[in-house]
Amino acid sequence: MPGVWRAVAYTDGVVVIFHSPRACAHIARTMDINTHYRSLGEGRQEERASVPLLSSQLEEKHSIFGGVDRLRKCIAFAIEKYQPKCLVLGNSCVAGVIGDDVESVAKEVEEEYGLPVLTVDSYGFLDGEYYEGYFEITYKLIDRFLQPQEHVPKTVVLLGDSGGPWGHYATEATRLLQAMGVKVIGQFPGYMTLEDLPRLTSAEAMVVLGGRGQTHDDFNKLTKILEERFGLKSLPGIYPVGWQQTERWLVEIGKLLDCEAQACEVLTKERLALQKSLQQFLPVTKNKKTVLCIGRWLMYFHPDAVLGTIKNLELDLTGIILLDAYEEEYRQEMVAALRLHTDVSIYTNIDGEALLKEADLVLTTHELQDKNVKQIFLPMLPKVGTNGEIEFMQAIYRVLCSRHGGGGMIYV
Amino acid sequence: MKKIAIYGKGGIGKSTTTANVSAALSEQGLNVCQIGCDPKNDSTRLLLGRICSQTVLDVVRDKEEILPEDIVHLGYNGIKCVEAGGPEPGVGCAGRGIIVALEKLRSLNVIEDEDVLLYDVLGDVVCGGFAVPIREGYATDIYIVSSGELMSLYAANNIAKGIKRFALRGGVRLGGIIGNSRNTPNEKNLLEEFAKRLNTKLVAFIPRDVVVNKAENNRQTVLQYAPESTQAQIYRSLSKYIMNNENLSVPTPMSFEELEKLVEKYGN
Repeated sequence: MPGVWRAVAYTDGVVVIFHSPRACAHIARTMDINTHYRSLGEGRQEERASVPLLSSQLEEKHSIFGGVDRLRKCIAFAIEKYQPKCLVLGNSCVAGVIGDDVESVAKEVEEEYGLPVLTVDSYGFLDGEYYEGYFEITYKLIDRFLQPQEHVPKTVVLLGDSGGPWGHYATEATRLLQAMGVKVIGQFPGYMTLEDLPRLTSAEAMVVLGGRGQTHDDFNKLTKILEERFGLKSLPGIYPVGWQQTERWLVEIGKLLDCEAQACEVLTKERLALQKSLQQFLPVTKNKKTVLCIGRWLMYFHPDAVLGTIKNLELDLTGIILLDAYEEEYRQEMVAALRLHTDVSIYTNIDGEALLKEADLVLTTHELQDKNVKQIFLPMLPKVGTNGEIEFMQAIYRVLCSRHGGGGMIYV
Repeated sequence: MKKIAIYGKGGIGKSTTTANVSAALSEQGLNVCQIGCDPKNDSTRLLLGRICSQTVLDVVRDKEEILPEDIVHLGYNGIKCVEAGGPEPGVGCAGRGIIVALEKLRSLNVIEDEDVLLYDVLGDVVCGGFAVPIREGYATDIYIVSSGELMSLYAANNIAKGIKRFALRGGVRLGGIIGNSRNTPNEKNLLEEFAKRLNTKLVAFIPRDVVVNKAENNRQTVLQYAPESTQAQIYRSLSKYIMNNENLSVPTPMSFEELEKLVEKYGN
C-alpha cells in the first residue's frame, strides 16, 4: 500500500484511498513526514504537498461481513470533499483475506461519477514488498493517461522516486542534463500532475533514477514498455553511481540524445571539479589504511563504485571483510564481483579482526559494534554524479582529519 | 460443564443430530445450550421452531452495547439457543465471524451455569476460524457425523487431522464417529472400521427414517414430533452415551489413498 501511495503521492488531481484499517495509512504518513523533515534537514524547500490519503477505516465487523459498503461511503466522501480527477484504491491485507471485490466497486464508481478509478491486485503486505503496488499503479497510469505523440528533441523524463525532484539523485541528474542542454520535463511516477502527465510521452528519452538494486528489473520492464509503446529512448542499466559510472553515463546520454560534443564538454568540467577536490583531499587520504566491510547481497550493494573512490583517494585498502550475514551462495557472488576489480585479500569477521585494529578508516555496510575505529556507513542509496562522489570523498577526508581517536559511525 | 462440538461434512445431518441430542439431554433434566457456528443460522431451527432472528454477529454489527438477552434465545424444553451468524454468501469472512462471535459470548459470560454446551460447527475445518471451537478450549469432546459415502468420510478424516493437531497441545479429544446412514452398502461395517482406523469407535448408527424429514418439515426435533418413535430412542441413547463417554482419544487420520481402499473394500 505505501508503494501505491508513493506512485501518485505528488500527482495533483489524485486522491488515494486505502481500503484498510486506519492504522495501515500510518506507514505512508510516516514516509511523507520523513520526506518533509529530510528536506528541512538538508536545507531544501519542499516544493509540493502530497495528495490526500484516506482510509476506509475497516473495523472488525467489516472483516466478517465484508467492507465494500464502507469503501463506497469513503469514496463518496472523497469525491464530495476533494473533487478528484482520479481515484487510486490501495488494498490492505484484510481486504485481500476476506476477498472484498474492490474491482467491482471501482467500476461502479467510474460509471456513476465518470471518474477514472485505478485499483491494484496486490493486497498490503501479503505481496511481500513495497514495489508491487508501486509498479502496478505506474502501469495503470500509463494505460489510462498516456498517448503516443511527437517527441521534442533534447528532452527527457526522469523515471523513479529516489526522494523526488528535490532529492539528491534528481537534482544532480537534472544539473548534469541541463549542463548538456537537455530539458527535464518531469519525474514519473509520483511527481507529475494529472494535467501534465500526457506530456510525458513528448520526451525524447527517459532517464532512470535507480541503481542495480532491487528495482533494476522492474525499471527495465517499465522502460521497455515506454520504449515500445511511445518510442522513448532509454539507457538500460547505466546509473551515475561513483565517478567511473558517472563518466560513462554522461557519454552515453550524449550519444542517446545526439549531443556528444556537449556531453564531452560537461565531462571535462566535471572531471576538473573532481580533480580540484582530489587535490584538497589527497594529502590527507593518501596511503591511509582502509578496510572495506560488506554484509549486503550483491543486488543491494555493488562494490565497484566504492572501490573506485578508494582508488581515486589513494587509500591503502588493506583488506576486505565479508560480514557473517552472508549465506554461502551470496558470499561467493560477492567474492566474484570483488575479484573483477581487486585482488586485495578477503577475510571473515574473525580473520579480519587484526586488520580493524590497524585501520585508519573502515568503510562498512553495517555498523561494527565496540570497535575503536572510525567508520563510514555505506548507504543503500549512494549519492550520484560528480557532486555525490565529491560529497562522499569529502566525508572520508573529514573523518581522517578528525582528531577524535576512533569509534562511532558517520552516515553519508 | 460438558463441552461438546459436532463436526462433519456439509449437509450430513450435523444440525439435526445436534438438535435432537440437545433435546434428549434436556429431557434428562440437564441445562443445555446449543451454539450454531454456521453463517446460515439454521442449527437451532428445530429447537426454536424458526430460523434464529438475531445472531451474535447481527448484534455485533448493529448495536453498540450487547446484552445477553439479545443473543440467547430459549428453545424447546428451555434449551438456550445461540447462533454465531455470519456474512451473506460470497462476502466477508465467516471464519473470522466464528472467532469474534465466540469471543463475544465468552466475554459476556452468558453461558455459565449450563450442564452441557454443544457447538454445531459448519462443514469441514476449512480455515482457522472454524477450528476455534477445538483450538481455544471452547469444546473438549469432539464428535464427527459421517455417512458411509467417500466424500463424507474424507471430510471426517480431515476433521480428525485438525483434532489431532490441537490434541497434541491441549485437552481436546475425539469422542467418536456418529454414523448418519445414507443407506450405502455395508455402511455400518465401513463406519466401524473407519472409526477403528481413526483410533476411536462408532458411537451410534442412526438409520435413515422418514420421521426425521417429517419432524424437520414441522420445525421440530424428532423427540418433540414423535417422542415414542424408534428414532427418538436412538437419539436418547446417543445423548446418554455422549454424557458418560470417557473413552476419548487422539485420532490417527488416514491418507486419502488408504481411505479410498477402505471404501472400496466395503463395495462402495
